[in-house]
Amino acid sequence: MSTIKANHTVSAKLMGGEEAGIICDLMEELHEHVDIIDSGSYVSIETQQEELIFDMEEITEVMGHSYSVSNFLSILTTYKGFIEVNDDNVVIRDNG
Amino acid sequence: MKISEAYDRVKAIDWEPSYITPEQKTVETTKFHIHNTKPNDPFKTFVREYCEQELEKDDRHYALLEAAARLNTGEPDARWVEGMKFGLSNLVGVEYAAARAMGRMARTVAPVELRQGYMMQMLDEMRHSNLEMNVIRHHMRSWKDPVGFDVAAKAGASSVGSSIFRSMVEDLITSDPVETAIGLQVFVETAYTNLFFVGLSSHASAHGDDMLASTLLTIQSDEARHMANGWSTLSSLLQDDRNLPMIQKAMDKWSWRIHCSFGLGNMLFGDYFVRKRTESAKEMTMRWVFDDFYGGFYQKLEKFGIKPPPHLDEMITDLDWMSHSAAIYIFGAWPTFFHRYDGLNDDDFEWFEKKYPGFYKHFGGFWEAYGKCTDPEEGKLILKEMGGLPNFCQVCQRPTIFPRPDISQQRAFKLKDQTFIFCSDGCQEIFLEEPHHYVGFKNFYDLYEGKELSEIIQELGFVRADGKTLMAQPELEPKRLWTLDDVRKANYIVERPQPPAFR
Repeated sequence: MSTIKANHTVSAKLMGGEEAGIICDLMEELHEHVDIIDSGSYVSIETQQEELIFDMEEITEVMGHSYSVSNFLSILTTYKGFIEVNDDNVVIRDNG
Repeated sequence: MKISEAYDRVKAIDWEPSYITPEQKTVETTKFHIHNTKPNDPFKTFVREYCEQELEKDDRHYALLEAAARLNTGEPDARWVEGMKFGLSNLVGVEYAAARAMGRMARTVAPVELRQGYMMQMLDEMRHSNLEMNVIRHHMRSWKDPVGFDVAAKAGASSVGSSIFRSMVEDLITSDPVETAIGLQVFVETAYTNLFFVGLSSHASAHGDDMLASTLLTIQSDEARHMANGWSTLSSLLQDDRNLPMIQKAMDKWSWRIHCSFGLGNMLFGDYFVRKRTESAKEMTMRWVFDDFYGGFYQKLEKFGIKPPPHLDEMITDLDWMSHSAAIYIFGAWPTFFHRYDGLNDDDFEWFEKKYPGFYKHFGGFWEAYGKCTDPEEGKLILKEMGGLPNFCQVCQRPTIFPRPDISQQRAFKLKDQTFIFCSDGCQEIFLEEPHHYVGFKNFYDLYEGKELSEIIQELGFVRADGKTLMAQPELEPKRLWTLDDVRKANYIVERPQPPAFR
C-alpha cells in the first residue's frame, strides 16, 4: 500500500475581486516566499514556509479604509493548513 | 478585551443543570470518549460576530444575484448549465441533511466549544441550502430551457443518479453522531468540498455561470469554519487513546464512502459538464484531494497512530476511469433524468485520449453508438442498445461498473436468505460492519422492475407541462424533442440483471 507523501504548502484562497487583488499585492510585496495563483473566480496565496499571517492593520493601510478580521473572513473561501483567528490577524500554519 | 479572553469568559458561563443528570442532558449517546476533553476552537466565533459576518457575506452575494437579474450578462454555456440541473439537484438535500447532522452532534457532545461550532454550522448548512435554491431559481428565471431546474429538489429525492448522494448522506445522519463529524467535517468538508465548491467555481465562471461561481465560493467560506470544527473534534478525540481504533475505523469507512459519492460527482462534472478545459478532473482531484488533503492534513495524523486508508491505492487508480464510467451510465440512462445532454465531439475525444490514454479503446464504442441514438424518428434508445442498466451497489448505490465496466469489482453476497450486490471490497467491508444500516435501501430495480420505461418517467414526474414531452433530451438542440410515445415505441422493459459471482 502507498504511503502518503507529505505536503507542506500553506495557502489561503480568496474570492476573486478588488479586495483579494489588494491583499495579494500586499502579501507579494511583504513576503518573497509567497506565490499568487489567479484562477479567475478565486486567487490562491501560497507559501512553503511554516505560516501565512494576514495582518489587518497592514491590510487596512493599503485598503484605504478600515478592514477587520470579519471582513477578511467574508472573502476567505478556503485555506490549507491549520487556522487561528485572532483580534487583529488570521494565521494559517502548516502544523496544528 | 481580547477575543481569546472574551471567549474564555463566555465558555465559563456554561453550567451543569441540577434538574437532570449529565447523561440526560446529552440526548443521543456516542461510542466515542469525548465528554471530558479540552477542545480548541480556532475561530472563537461569538453569535454576534457570526451574524455580522454572515450578513456581510449574504449582502455581497445577493447583490450579485440582484445585478445578474437586471443586467444582460450573456448566456452561459449550455453543456454546463444543463449539467447543473442534475448537479444542483443533489446539493439542496445534502445541505439540509448536514444541518440535521449538526443538530444531532450539538446535543451529543459535552464540550461547549464544540457545541458552539456545530450550532453555527447548522445555521450555515441551512444558509447553503437556501443559496443553492436561490441559484436554481435564478437559472429557472434566466435560462432558455428552465425545465429541470423546477424539479431539482424533488429530483434529488428520486433520480437514479441522486441515490448515490442520498445514500451517502443518509448513512452520515444515522451513524454515531461523533462519527458523523469524521465523515462530514473531515472527509466531505476538508477534502472534497474544497474541490467541488472552489475548484468547480472556476469552471462555472469560465462557462459564464458567474452566479453559481459566487454561490459555491460563499458556501465554501463557511466550510472553512467547518474544516476547523472537524479538526477541533478530531484533536479532542485524539486526546483519549481509547478512541484511536474507532477513529481509524471511521476514517477507513468515510475515506471510501466519500470517494464513491462526492469524489464521483467531482470527476463527472469536472470532465463531462465542461467545454473549456485547463486540467482534467483527475488532475484536479489529485491536486485538491490526494496532494492537499491527504498530503497536507491526513499525513499529519500519522504521529497520533492513524494509518493511511486501506483503499488509498485503489482510490487513486480509480481516477483513470471514474468519470468515463460515470458518464456512460448517466448518458446511457438519459431518459430517466431531467436535463439536456451534450454528447462528445472530436475535441472532447482528443482531450480525453491525451489526459486518459486508452480512453477511446474502452469508451469510444459507447459514444459512437450514442451519436446514432439521439434522433427520436429513428426510435433507438441507447439504454436498450447497451443491454440495459447494470446492477447497483447496496452500500454506495453506484452502478457496479467501476472502475471500468470490463474490470469491474462487483460481487454478490448472501446474508441469511437475501442476496446483496457490492461494487468493491470497500463497500462490502462497510456493509459487513453494520449490515442493518444498509439492508433497507431500495434501488431502481426494487422500485421499477417489470415496468416499461415511459411509465417510469411519468411516475418520476420528469415530463414537461404538455404531459408528453420528456424533460430530458439526448442533445442540446435536437431537431425534435423526444416524447413518451417515442420511448413507448422503443418498448424497454426494466429487467434486473443477473447477480455477479458470489464472494
